[in-house]
Amino acid sequence: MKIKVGIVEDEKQIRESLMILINGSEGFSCVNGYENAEDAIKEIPSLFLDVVLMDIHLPGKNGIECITELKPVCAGTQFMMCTAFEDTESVFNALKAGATGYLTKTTQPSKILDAIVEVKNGGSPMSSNIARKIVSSFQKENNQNVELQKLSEREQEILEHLSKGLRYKEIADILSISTETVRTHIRNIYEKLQVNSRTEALNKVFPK
Amino acid sequence: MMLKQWLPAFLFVCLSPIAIAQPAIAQKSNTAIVSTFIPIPDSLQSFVDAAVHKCNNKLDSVKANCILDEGYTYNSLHYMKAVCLGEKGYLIAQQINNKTLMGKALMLLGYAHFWKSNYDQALSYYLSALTIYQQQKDKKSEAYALKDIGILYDKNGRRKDAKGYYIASMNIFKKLNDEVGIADLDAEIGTSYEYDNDAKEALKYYYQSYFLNKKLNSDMGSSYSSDYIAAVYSGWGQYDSALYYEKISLDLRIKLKDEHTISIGLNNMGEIYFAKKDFKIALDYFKRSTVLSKKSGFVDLEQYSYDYIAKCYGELGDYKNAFEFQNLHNRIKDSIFNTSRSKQLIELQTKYETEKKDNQIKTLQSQTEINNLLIKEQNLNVEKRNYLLIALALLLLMLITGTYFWINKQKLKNQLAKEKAIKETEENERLRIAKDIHDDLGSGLSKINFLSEIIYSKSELLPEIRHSSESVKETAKKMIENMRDLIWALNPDNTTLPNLVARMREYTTDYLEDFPIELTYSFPDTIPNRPINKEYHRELFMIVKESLNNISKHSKATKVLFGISITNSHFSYTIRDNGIGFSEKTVKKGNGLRNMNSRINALGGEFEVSSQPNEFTVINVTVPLQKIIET
Repeated sequence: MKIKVGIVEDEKQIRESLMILINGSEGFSCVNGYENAEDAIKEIPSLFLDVVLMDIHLPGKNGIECITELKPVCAGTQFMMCTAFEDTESVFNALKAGATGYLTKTTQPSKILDAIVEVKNGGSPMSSNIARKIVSSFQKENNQNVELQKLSEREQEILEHLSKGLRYKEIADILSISTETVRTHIRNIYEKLQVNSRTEALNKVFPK
Repeated sequence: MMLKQWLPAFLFVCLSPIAIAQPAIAQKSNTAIVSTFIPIPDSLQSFVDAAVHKCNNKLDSVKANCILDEGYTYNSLHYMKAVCLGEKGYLIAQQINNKTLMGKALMLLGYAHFWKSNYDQALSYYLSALTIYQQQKDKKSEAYALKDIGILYDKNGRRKDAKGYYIASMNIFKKLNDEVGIADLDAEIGTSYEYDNDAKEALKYYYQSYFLNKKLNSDMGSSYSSDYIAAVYSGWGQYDSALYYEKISLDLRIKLKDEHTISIGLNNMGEIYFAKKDFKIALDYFKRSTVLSKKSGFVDLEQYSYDYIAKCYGELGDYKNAFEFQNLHNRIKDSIFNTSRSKQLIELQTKYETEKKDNQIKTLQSQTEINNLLIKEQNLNVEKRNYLLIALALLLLMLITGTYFWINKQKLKNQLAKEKAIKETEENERLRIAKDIHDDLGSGLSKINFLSEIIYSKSELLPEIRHSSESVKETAKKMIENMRDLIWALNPDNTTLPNLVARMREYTTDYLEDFPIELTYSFPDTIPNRPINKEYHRELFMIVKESLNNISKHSKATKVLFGISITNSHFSYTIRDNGIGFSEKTVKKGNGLRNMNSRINALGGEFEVSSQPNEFTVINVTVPLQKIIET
């Protein structure tokens, strides 16, 4: 089975070369590319894609809004942000909206393909900055007495190592677990983050 | 100048009933408080009776509460009415020993005196209420009372005392997680800083208040804080920002349909345009403001805006209209003066009536009843005239000194604002450029990077292009990385010691991942969480990058050790590789290393490189902790 990929990117050349790269690689198929969020929102739900590469800065709706709308109607699709830099604030907001991965546009083509496979198989990257933001976000939300999902001890442990700059493999070694298990934990953390941000939003609209 | 002085007043009036959530009272202070009560003057007897009648209810608590609520509607508008209802409510509450309502009454009395500028009396009421709240452990009300005491001190220029009370209040609000209270208090603290001419600090608090209010969806709160923010920007001459926030405020007020505050907002828009020298637009706003303030009877604002309308016409060269509006302004101003004078007269009358009663009792006891009464009355008439004269003289004196100080203060404020504006502009500009780089240059560069990558991959058979396309690609990548670091370091949240260490580690792992090099770390377990100096942050990180670059490009190393150590006095790190090393000569020729050396030395640190050809290279950087930590 080929991995079905979609691209939302307003720069024509980048979009097209990404499509060429993906279509030209074995095991991948780039189903379509969109130059704005509005078109993507219309079409992507019916395509049952595996992975969508999403630019943050788009004309009209931005990539984060686009994910917010697509995530609930695309159950099996993973969203991966593409940013010029690792802009912590935007990446964090995208993760809250439902993205499970991100890559910077400086990433080498071969690594882009690796990242797509990784995200499809349930892995999600996380840097020390993002880890710190997540830790403080969970601390803050727990203070508000809203019933939110809490992090398990293991998950907290992993976040702490990540925030010190350790990579998955190092953490796996320290905790004597496999790198795969670390990835699973990270994916769970991302999911809790998304659930919490939705609960938070709901509580704002319908206060208890 | 903006109509700052009216705004806290309205906020205060609007929010104060909320403040009295669950007050209570201490038995001890009852008699002391009641003894300061003023008897209801004849002229207001029927007003009080009407209120009591309107609030009639079987339950005394409901009745008292209703009377007090009625009283709150007068707290800044009619001193005597508020006081009479406050006292009446207090006495009923006392009979049924309802502490909640007794507290509510005490706060009302405090507010009434506050608005009458009877600060001593207001303070004593507030403090009695505060004592009670503390005894009853009613934290929320205690916090609001503390805040009100803070406002009172502020009003009297005692900023230090005011801050003390604000802090105490803030601590409680934070403990209670009462965001409404925090937002409200932030605005007051901001105002306090603004009185103190510290507009920058004020702005910080206004922003806090604004964002909190926004989060709480409090349109009213947001409308005030954004208005304050606009005032600060206007003072700095940043009219676009001022207009932006004033517009937000005005829109919210229009949404709330509060004519009073809409008219203030319109006037403030006018003032910003006036300061911006957009006299035509300013004129339009002032006119719209006066239509509303006239309709809602907000005479003070009406005359104030007329003055500006006159000024606008003057600036536009329409002297006929300028003259007419100046006249209108003067006429209304005079009439306000008359109103306040006649208010004064009513009060004097009240005092007079009270005294008359006492005198009647005395004279009835004596036999020379009629004579004495006549003489007394004559005396009283003289006294009455004296009162009048004194009051008028005082009023005049106050007006003159008030204006004098006000003008002086404005001058000073403008001067300070100018200086601050320059600083602020510099900072803003830096952030703006950083953001532009981030958005425009960044995406452009990543496009170059991406496209050169493609050219590079297609150029396998074209050696003359291959080399240059590779160097384009590398350059773009390097620039993006440097820019990322620069922007990253501009955010003060990022420049802390633990973050620097984490980033060094992360970068090193990622960088060496692509090379057949085994990497070992030796990092301390705990790293003091202290903010560090931006310049150091940059230099220390650059050296790591440069070293890794040298190792991967030239050293042929298979192992790298990266160690960090932090003592009480120093931060240091070592990067050691087992590569081919170099001789002294090559170093002298100078590459990145020499630059690194001089930069670290300039910052007061030490930089060492030592190498044994074909064995190792060690780079060691040590900087005094005291110097890198930002205080």
